[in-house]
Amino acid sequence: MKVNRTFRADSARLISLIMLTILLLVLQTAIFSNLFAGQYVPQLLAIVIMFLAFYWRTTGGLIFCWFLGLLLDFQIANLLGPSMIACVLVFLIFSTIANNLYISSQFVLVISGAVGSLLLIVIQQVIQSIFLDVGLSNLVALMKDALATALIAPLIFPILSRWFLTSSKI
Amino acid sequence: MEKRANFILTAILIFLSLLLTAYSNSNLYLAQFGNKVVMGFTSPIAGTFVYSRNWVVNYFDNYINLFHVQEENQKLQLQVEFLQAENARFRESEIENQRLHQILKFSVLQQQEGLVANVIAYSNKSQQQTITIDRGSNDGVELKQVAVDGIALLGQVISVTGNSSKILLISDPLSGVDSISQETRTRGVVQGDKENLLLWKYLPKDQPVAVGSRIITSGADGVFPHGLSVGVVIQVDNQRPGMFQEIFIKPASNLNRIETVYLLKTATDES
Repeated sequence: MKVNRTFRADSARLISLIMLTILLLVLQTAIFSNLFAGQYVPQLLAIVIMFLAFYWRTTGGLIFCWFLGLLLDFQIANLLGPSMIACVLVFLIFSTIANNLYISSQFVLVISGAVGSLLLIVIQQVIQSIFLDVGLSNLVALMKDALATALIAPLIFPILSRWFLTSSKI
Repeated sequence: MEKRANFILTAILIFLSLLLTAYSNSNLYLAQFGNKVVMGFTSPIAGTFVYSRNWVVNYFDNYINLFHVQEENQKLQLQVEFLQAENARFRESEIENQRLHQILKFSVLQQQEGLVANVIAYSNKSQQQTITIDRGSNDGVELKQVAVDGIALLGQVISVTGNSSKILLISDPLSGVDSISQETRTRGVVQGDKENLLLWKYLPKDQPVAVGSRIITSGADGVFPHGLSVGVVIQVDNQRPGMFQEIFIKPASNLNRIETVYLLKTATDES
């Protein structure tokens, strides 16, 4: 009975996280992309990846991040795969250093947001450049996105924590 | 044990991703199908957001403009008189221009039918250079339709849903436009580059190109019709190592501030 209840709670938590992730993707692509003509766009999915790396079990987080990457690749409508690899790698990097970070600190969230955003785009574009004849975006554009992500990370992170940290790890 | 399982899982996920990358590199169907699904969610919200924002901005603009209406009206009347005089001069110039065209048997751009669309979303500039417009397959938009702004080339349609479409701008590094110099007829491929400039590629060093040369589409790639303005050469570097020169072009249209586009009818539509 107890096992059944825990399973149901975890499933509900997972479904609401999926819904929230889709909502964040819509926010990122439909609202933030149009605020400053495609500049200063926060990578909200990078914040979700950071959250998963800090609080989720590695197995569940890896699979979830892989699907997040698929969603990002679908949104870009070019190659499928680069964002998937980027999401998985960013998750692994953050889950490796998670124990050494004081994640209750706003400052750590700001720095993590900027680094996560930069890593996500750079890794995605490096992999893309292996298959296609394209270079990296200019550093200024990447830094603008990283800055926006850094500023918004301390706002999104507490929402994620409040919603999804009520029971055990998935 | 858990570390080992995670390592294997990571390897499997990365391997699967690479397989998908290799597959989608040769076959875009899956990526475009996924994009249609994602755009189905995002386009209506983006459209509503942009329309609402424009409405609010216009409302306040109109309100502020009311303060200076009379003064502005007098200025505009003067301007109308001036423009009428100028218009008469331009009409003369046009007649003269047509006569010269006939004399030189110069190929005049054909009047093309098409469709006007409004931009409802911009892509994240650091990832790709695309715009989303409020016209889709329900309005007759098709893949590879050419988007222009006046006669300046903007890009081509890469994804279509019922009520919206995505246009890959010529400033995206993945875009390629077969182009020629209007003066020397030198031919190369225009691709997107950093800092909102275009790069004119594959021009051998023995074919000199001057700064200020106008670049137009050649029509040889079968996608973009001949004679659309692409931009103006602003920098030429033929001292770099290798066979080719490095030539930077300033786009003819401001690709960061596109609000309305004109989609040219494709050859299949006309037939």
